Amino acid sequence: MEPTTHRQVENATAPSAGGFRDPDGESSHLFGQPPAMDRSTFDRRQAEFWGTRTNLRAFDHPVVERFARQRVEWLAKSLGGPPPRTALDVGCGDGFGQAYMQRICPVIFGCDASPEMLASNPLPRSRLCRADAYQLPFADQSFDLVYCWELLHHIGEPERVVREMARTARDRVLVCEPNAWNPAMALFSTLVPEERGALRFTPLSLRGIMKRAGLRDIRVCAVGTFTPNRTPDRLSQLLHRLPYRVPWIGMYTIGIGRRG
Amino acid sequence: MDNINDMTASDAYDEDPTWIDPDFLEILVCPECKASVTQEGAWLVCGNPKCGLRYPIRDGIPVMLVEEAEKPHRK
Repeated sequence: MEPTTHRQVENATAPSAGGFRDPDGESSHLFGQPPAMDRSTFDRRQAEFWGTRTNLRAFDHPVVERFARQRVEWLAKSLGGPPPRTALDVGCGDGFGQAYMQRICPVIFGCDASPEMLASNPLPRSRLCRADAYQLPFADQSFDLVYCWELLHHIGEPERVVREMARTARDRVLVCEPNAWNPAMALFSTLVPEERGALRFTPLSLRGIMKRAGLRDIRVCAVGTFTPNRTPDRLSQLLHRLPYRVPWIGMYTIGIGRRG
Repeated sequence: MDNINDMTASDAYDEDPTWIDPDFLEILVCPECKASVTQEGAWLVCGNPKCGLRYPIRDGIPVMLVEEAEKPHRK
């Protein structure tokens, strides 16, 4: 049997008048008002966006560093199990996740579709490749940990990507996404067209995506009080002192699951 | 920043822009059919004879995208 390609799935997924539509016919959007475009259009526009985006703070910007260190410190305590020896950062972009995740895992490979983002990644090129998250170019069970930081809300079919992540993971899959239950995040995601896909993500919906992707022992938490790219430095210093875990309404939702 | 000096240290790419870490090459597969790939100069070639897609290495980074792969040369 011929493998189903991304394009075949795109063609088989008819544009919905109301927005995204799952293959089983259920809406994947939290509020029932999804972006009015089909998945392939969504993915194409996101690819164009990431090919031109230049307003991101560098990975060593103080606010980015504060954000990432806080997240990684929490992950180091919460990931569970033995420390991973190898990891894959899916949608690694300019490497802001990889740079700090090295505290948890010594060898991290990265892949991203955008050559512009990879060009600013500080990791050695020998650990990077350009790839489509729907079709990861890695053998089954290649990495102890496969993770993504703020990737899935830029993807038309997040469940397919999580399934690919689970395929390439030996043990754990980690997903970090914005939380639409956070009022500030919901407002931001509504106002910025390229971030509107974040409205699909809450602790509840992320758990569902990970479960349908075949993961087990799933733990989901709402965490964080500021964003790395928009928060002023002084404000981030204040917010950084608040507890990291904010039940239900933290700015981000983090899911950890094991390969089924 | 932890290990930043290690991270930004130049690797073998500086001497050969088509160099791929053997450990990395070992786990890379064709994204279309998931067969293993082998390096032929500045290309990674799918080992599945029914697929045979050729993926370019640009600036030291394998471009493992089906839409940017070359189809095999048929004799």
